[in-house]
Amino acid sequence: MKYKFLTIAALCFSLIFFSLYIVRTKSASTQELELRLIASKPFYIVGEVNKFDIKITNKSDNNVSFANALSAGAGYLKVFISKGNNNFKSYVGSRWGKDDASYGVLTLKPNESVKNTVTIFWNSKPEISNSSTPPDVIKRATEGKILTDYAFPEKGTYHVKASYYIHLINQKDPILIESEPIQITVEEPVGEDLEVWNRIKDKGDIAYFLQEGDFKIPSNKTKEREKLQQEIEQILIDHPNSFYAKPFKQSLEKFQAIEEKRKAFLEKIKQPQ
Amino acid sequence: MKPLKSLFFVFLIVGGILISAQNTKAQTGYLSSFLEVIDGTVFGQSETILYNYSFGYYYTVGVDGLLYDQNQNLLASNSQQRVSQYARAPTAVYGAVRGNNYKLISYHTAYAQYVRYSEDQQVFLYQDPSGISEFGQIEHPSPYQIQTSYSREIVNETIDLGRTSVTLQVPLVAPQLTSIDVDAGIPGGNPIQTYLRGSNLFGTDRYIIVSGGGGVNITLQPLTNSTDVVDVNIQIDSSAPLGDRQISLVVDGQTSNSIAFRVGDRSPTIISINPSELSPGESALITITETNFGTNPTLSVDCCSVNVSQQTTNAAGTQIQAVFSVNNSAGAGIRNVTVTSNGISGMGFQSTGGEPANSNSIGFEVVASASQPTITEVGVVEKNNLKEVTVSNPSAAANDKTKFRIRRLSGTGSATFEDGTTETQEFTGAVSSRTLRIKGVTESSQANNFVIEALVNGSSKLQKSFTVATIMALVFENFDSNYSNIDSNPGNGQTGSAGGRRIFPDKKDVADVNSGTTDRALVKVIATVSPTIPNVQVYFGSYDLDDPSANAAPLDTNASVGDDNNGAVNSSKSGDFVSPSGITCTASTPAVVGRIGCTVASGGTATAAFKTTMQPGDNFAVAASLTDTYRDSITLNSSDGSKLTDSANKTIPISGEANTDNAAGIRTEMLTVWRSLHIEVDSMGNVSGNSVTGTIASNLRGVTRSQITLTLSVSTLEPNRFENGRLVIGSSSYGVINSNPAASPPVDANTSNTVTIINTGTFSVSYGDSFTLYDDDDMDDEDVGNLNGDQGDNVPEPDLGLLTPNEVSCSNTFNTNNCNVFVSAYVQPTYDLSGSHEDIPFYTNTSSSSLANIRTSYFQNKMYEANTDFWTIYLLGAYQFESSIDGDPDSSGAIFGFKDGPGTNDGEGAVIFNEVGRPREYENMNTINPVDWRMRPVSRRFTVAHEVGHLFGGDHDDYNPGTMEAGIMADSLFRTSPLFSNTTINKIRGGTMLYHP
Repeated sequence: MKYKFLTIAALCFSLIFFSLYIVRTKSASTQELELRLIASKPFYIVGEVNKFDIKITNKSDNNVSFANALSAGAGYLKVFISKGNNNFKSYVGSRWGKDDASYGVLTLKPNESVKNTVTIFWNSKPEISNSSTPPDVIKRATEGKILTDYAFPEKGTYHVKASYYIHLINQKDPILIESEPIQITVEEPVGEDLEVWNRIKDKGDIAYFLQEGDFKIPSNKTKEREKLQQEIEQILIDHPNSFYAKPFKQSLEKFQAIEEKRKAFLEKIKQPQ
Repeated sequence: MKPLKSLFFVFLIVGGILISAQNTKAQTGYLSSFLEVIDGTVFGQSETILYNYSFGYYYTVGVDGLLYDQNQNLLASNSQQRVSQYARAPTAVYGAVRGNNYKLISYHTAYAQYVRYSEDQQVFLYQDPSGISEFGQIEHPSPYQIQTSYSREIVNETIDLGRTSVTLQVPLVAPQLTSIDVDAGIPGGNPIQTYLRGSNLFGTDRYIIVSGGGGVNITLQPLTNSTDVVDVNIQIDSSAPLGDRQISLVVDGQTSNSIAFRVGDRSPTIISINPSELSPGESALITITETNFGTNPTLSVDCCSVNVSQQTTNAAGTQIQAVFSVNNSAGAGIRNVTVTSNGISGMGFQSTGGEPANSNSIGFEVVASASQPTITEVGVVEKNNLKEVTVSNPSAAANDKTKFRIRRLSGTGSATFEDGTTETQEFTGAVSSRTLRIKGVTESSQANNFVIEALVNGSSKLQKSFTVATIMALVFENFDSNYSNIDSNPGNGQTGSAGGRRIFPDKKDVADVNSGTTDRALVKVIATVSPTIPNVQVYFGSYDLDDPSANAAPLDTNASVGDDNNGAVNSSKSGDFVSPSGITCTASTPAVVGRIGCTVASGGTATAAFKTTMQPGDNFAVAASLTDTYRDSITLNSSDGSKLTDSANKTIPISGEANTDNAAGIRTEMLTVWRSLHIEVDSMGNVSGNSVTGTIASNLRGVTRSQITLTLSVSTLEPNRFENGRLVIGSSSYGVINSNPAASPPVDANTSNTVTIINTGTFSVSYGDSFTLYDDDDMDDEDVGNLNGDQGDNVPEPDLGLLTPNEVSCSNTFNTNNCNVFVSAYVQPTYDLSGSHEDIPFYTNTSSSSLANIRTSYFQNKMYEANTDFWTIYLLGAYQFESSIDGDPDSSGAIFGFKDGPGTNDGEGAVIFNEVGRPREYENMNTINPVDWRMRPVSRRFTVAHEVGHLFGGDHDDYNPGTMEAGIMADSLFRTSPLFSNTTINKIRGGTMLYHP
């Protein structure tokens, strides 16, 4: 009888413990972590560098701790874009998912949020120029992906959503949380601005330059880099007051600073050690 | 008044029968002579002298043609003939007397028309022969200009030019006989109505002279106007002696030559026979043409088995027709056909001068038997295969028996008809085109030791030789001595993936890239044919075998069926055959990718050049047959794509293995593509300057607190960078506390200008004392308790423990090492690049732009990094990434490795941060992941493999389908496997990503 009581007590204790565990686990579940994608403004112009906030909010009553891997480089953030329909395609930005890092721990109190800003502009589209690739491979390589250099390559209404693999403390596998799609409108400029857009809309290297202030073309391809720089400078000469002039100038200044550092580095290594 | 300018034109076209002409002088100027043309013959000379510009007229010639006899009596006339219309004068005179002369007199008149201008005319313009109608200088230049004010007068004149007379003479010419239509007759025969033929046979007084014997009376028929034919009637008296007579014709006293006429018969002569041949059993109406057959001639054939019947002779005695019938048993050969004349009368040949009654002979041929069996060429019959031949004997007689049989003439080997046992096929009567199938059972010991033979009624009529052959071996070999890129395939560690051959189709080394000429994707496929039969065709086909390492997506999307390669040649996943210099093969018509036919050389082998794809893990087989139809029937097995089967579902044997299904063709072993990954490896040099120095801005004496916060003269310290670090003041050393951002209030190890140290005794410091501050960097974990910022330590190269240049698969354990993690993707690291092992200037923290600069300056093989045929990457051992993410403080996070390039397909290399990649830094992960990092594949060497995986397109979420397991591509925080997931392997192999690493 004593053993029976002990057994029942043990069972009850286990149930209570398990229930507590469930509650604790639930408090850190996807249902109580909200992922939101927030556009910096409702309207963009094609060719305008687009910034979005990724915001995670703890909607539970408990603290939630997870790896502070919100940066796009960590590879757990995914962004999907559709234009005019529900056919979302995957966007991959510059250096997205390429950093192998040890992340700190981030703890969100109830209703507390953390935010990270990402740029959704230049898209790392899959390379499909290899003529010796079978059609089925090309299909697999391209399906579900944005195939343009610009994330928003033309005017229109877009829907954008994000997903995030969140790594909760002491859980082996990440859990996936998703945002609701947001709608943004991308307008086409007119007049002189449209002339500039028509000059850059098919040029991924310029899209990357506008976003990063650097050239995607490797530094050993000097002629290609010079040609691109001349093209950019010519656009500024031809259209000094266009909508795009300011971002071009900003990127050019950044680029020139990088170039100065590069030259200084090259000078440094020329000197005897 | 100035002289009138003029032009003068003469038009002379004279036709007719005038023979000669005289002219008289023209009235103005002169006309010395003019042309007379009679029936196209020119008589005399014409010479036209133009008047000068003082006068001009145009001139129309008229001829009054009057014909007179020699006594000047007018016989015919035709006056006022315009020359331009004067085609022929009507001056034919019939009945002219031979030897008489006649005269033709013609009067020539010029009709002139000209224009005269009354006032100072300067030019005369002429428009057409009929007059002047236009002013202006058009056709005929003139120095003068006519003014419209000038008065204009048109003048017409008729001018007698002169008279011509022609003397005509009818000559005396002797008649000439050339033949007589009937040149013989017999005494007492019917009168012969016939013709004498010749020339000048016409005359007013004609008669025949017969000489050489009497009894032949020839009379002329009534006179005709013909000069070349004379009708005659010949009557031969019954008593006329046999023999030849001479016949002459006398015309107007002139005697002709003589021609022969025979009294008696002439020997017959056969000219032709048509048709001139028949086969035994045939009959046909034969036509014989001849001369002198006479009446009822006798036709005969000199030899056997040709019967003549139904003979007829035409009325002219020039043609015999008869039915010739050749017996079935008639032997082949020439028969002589002759005709015996029975004379003109048919009553007997009356020989004259000993001429025979028999004609010459003409050949008539009895051709060989009409039974002519045919067999199309056989050539080669492939072992275990069928070869169709077409046979016939369409002209065989109804009772003929035609037998086709297979016979071996020498050596060994076996062949039958289709059923495998029958060696003969027999037909009775005519055999229309039939298809027989010969089956090769065992190969011949020598070429052409078999025949298929046709026998008619037991007699051999025709043989066609053939050989039963087989392809004994079909193997891949290096393309030539400059190639050494084929060896045994070690497989990728998965069951069934090893075996067969392996090819590295990429460029071998830098020199290979620079030469640019060697296509190492080429491999020879050599078929050995037995027996040796030069010039026979071997037909090759290529196939994309099933991936043996997987049967599920993402690696293999079509399960066990083949055709799952990721690359293609000419749009063919199964590769293709090419024709480089030195190998001559013929593509099928129309050309089909992956199909080719090549000729067996004298050595008994046929060689094809096969080109593989470039994607690692792609695999192939080549099958071959001696017939293109069988080759085309070979396909991947529908349920097991590692096998090839024919249309009868027989498995095509692998060369060197048993042919259990007795299939006709043969296939190679599997050929698997591997790729080399050429890696240039560098690292930074010795560490220096990884500390902060300054002076103390505090004065403390005898402090015994366990933690002391000091103010420093520097104010740019990264907050909490020096947690767990070391502060050195003079000869004393103090540990820096750990920070605790979560505490309330947060505990800082250091601020921008303070540092908090651990005190274990009595602490004193003076304002201005020098200090050196080290953070907890200790990349080799050797400075515990004596942290010095790794001063002087050499930054190691990336740990290549998972990228060893071998085919040893890594194990799925956290301590796997000295293996090749890329084996699973059929990739082999290679360290053959010059420029490795350079010391790069040291950076405590390296930004992405600095890394780009380092690559530009120290990546010696950067020019090859985008070469799809020579995969080249750069690995750099560095110290730490940017200070914001270098693990100092721990809460900032730390980058273990870094793949360069912004996108998924533009990486040139990767950097490994050695200071971050050490246990002290990894320990932080234990606060997040419940599985201790020490029990997981987390260390520098895994980071190296991970970053190289990024260069191949790998992502942190390359989860195996249905799992959250991304293998080594998971970041260090959650990595549980040191192996690539199938998703990443698929990317490396080109299954979804199309770029070079």
